[in-house]
Amino acid sequence: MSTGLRYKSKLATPAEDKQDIDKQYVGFATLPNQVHRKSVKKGFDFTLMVAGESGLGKSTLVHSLFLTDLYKDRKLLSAEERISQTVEILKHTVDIEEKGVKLKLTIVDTPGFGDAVNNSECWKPITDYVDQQFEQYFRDESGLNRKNIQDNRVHCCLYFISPFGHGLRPVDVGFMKALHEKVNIVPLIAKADCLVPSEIRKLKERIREEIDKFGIHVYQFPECDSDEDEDFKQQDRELKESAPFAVIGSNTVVEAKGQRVRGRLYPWGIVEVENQAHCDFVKLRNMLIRTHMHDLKDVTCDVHYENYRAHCIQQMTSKLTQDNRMESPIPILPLPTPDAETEKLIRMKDEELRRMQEMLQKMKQQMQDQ
Amino acid sequence: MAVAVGRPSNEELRNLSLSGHVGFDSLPDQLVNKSTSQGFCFNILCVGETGIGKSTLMDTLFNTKFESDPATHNEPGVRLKARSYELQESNVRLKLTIVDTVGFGDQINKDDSYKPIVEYIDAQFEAYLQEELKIKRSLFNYHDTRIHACLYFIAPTGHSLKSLDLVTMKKLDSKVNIIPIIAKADTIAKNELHKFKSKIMSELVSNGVQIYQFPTDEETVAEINATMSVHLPFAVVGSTEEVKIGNKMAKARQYPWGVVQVENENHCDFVKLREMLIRVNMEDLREQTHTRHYELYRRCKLEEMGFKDTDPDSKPFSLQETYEAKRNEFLGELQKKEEEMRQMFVMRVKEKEAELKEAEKELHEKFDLLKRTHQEEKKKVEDKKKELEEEVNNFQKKKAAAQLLQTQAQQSGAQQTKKDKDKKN
Repeated sequence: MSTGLRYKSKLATPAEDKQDIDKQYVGFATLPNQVHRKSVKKGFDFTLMVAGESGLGKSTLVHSLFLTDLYKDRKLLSAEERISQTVEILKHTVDIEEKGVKLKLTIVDTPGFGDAVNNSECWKPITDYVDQQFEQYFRDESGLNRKNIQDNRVHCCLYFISPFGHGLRPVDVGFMKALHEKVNIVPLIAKADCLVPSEIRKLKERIREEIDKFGIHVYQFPECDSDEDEDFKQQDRELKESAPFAVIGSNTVVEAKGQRVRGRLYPWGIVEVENQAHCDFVKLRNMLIRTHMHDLKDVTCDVHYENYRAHCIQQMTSKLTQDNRMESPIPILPLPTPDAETEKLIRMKDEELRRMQEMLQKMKQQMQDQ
Repeated sequence: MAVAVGRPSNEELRNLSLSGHVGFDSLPDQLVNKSTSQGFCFNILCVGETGIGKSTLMDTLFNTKFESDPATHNEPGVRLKARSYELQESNVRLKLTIVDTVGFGDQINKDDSYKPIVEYIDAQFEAYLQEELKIKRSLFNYHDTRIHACLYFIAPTGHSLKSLDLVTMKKLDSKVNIIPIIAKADTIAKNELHKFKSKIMSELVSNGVQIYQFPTDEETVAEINATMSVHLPFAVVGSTEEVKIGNKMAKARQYPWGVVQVENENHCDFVKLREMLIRVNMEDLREQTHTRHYELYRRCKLEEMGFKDTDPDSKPFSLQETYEAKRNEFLGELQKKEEEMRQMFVMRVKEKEAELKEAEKELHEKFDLLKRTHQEEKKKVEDKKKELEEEVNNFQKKKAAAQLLQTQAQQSGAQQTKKDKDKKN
């Protein structure tokens, strides 16, 4: 893979300088190799969330991406049952291995999102879940024994946009705005085989405009370094220009031009999932798995989690000063956070006390006036 | 609209055979000539979410470009937009009205999405009913705006109906002829299409939704209608762009992997929809609307107003008598309400008067009290004044006495110094 080759090529030196370099050679240039070895031994983990209305091909796409069937016994609800359905969170975890590299992959599914007739706040269970994972990690990190912390934080969320409309719908905007500060959102145009190339271009432009208009922060690909080779830079540029990706998924293998490919068979032709001229599936796969998986994890740890942690600590310290306790000069150790219910009760009681105090003051004033 | 004439059952009709050609076999032709010269009218309602392809399908069906701007997804509610067009083919004129649901399926809370649609359909029925009940009516050149067919656009998810679709179709099935169609069908592969269609039909049946049944009572069309019914709901693709296929231009969509031809029966059911909707059953749709849906609406409406077909003595009521009785009842109620309001008004005025009187009394009392206190204070002040004058007098007397003493003292002093001076000298 290109990343592996890149740092190896920097080690290669021309023969003339070798003698000089031998004298000055310290040896820390082997660090990347050591990192590589250690990480292979430790194994990787990745949590991916998929969200979108049902019928947009989420499970098919996950199947095509990771080439394993995660949804063997899935029960699809009928339309009547979905009228007042609530959103559930389902987790599927699999261990997959490729060339000695182990990956613990968790897919978080959100069945029922956007399916009911009244979808107000249907993204609340999802934001609660993401916050819960952050909270659990926060507590583990601040604990005494930090040896085996399980990282269940959501690293990436693939959001499926329906291709049958003219752009983003209110429920899409609501979901993305509720989650863009907590999770890396990668928007996708689902079932792109119902759009001709000109329509895809128009829809992508429209979606990009609307994302800017509503102030949604989707995952931004990092800028590549200036000393990368031209090929890589070109790839990176193409990647950025084709966001949001228009994808097609398929569980079946069909025969096309003598080859067996993953695709969909129509009377008028065969759509090949891995054909770059047909859809952006390859770009998505490369981005998600082959080049940017670690960057997604880094952004989750460095940006989203740190925001959550700072916010949490701020809330805790402001509560302490409200209770008029002594302000300690040393940083306060994070207390075990009370669960949401008791916090709500405390807040309610505070409000009541404040209200009663105000009423008492008013009555005193009235008496004085009289 | 022709009204069915009932035959009294006790008369027996004799079948006679004719001995020559009379010529009344030209009656259908006369009817056709009359209708053709009048022109036909047809109203279609398209229900489906924004962007599902309603306008494109209408353009493709009628082979013209109906002008319309695509809607945005930010409509706060569902509203209906009706547009009327005059089309002509050979010598037949058609007044076509297309009603669009703008903003359907976009809101986050879709509980009330079906209401504007039901209200619109009822309003058209109401307008026709009002015209029918008029004293001087002109039904023969009344522009009939009742919806004859409702095309319900189902999104091609591949799984089943959406919850919104089910709820809306249940509300509409007793008011309009529903023809469900699968929109943008070029996204469903062949093997998935059959499963999807049967899932939809079974869901409709299990929830008791009555969609439009193509008529199979007439021999000429029974066969074709029966074969077409098997393919319900029709999976359609619409396109106004033409692509060169072979050596002719045809309506199609050009993909990198192939070309979807709209009028190719292997690619989609567009041709079937056109046949069923326009070429074969258009007149039947209009008739069903009038005889079934409109009559149902009319009956419900009149029953609501209190009309019955027969009075307690099972003699047919005349509309006029019922109307008079209703009118009197209404006037009586009006009078009663007026009385009540008048009484309430009088009571209120009395209450207010009593209140004001009390306030007046209080004011008088206060005034008396103040006057008394004022007099008392005045007396006190006068007393104090007298005292003060007395004191002043006393003071003056004392002052005068003191002065006298002082002058006396001075005089005696002066005499003393004079005596001293004399002594010295």
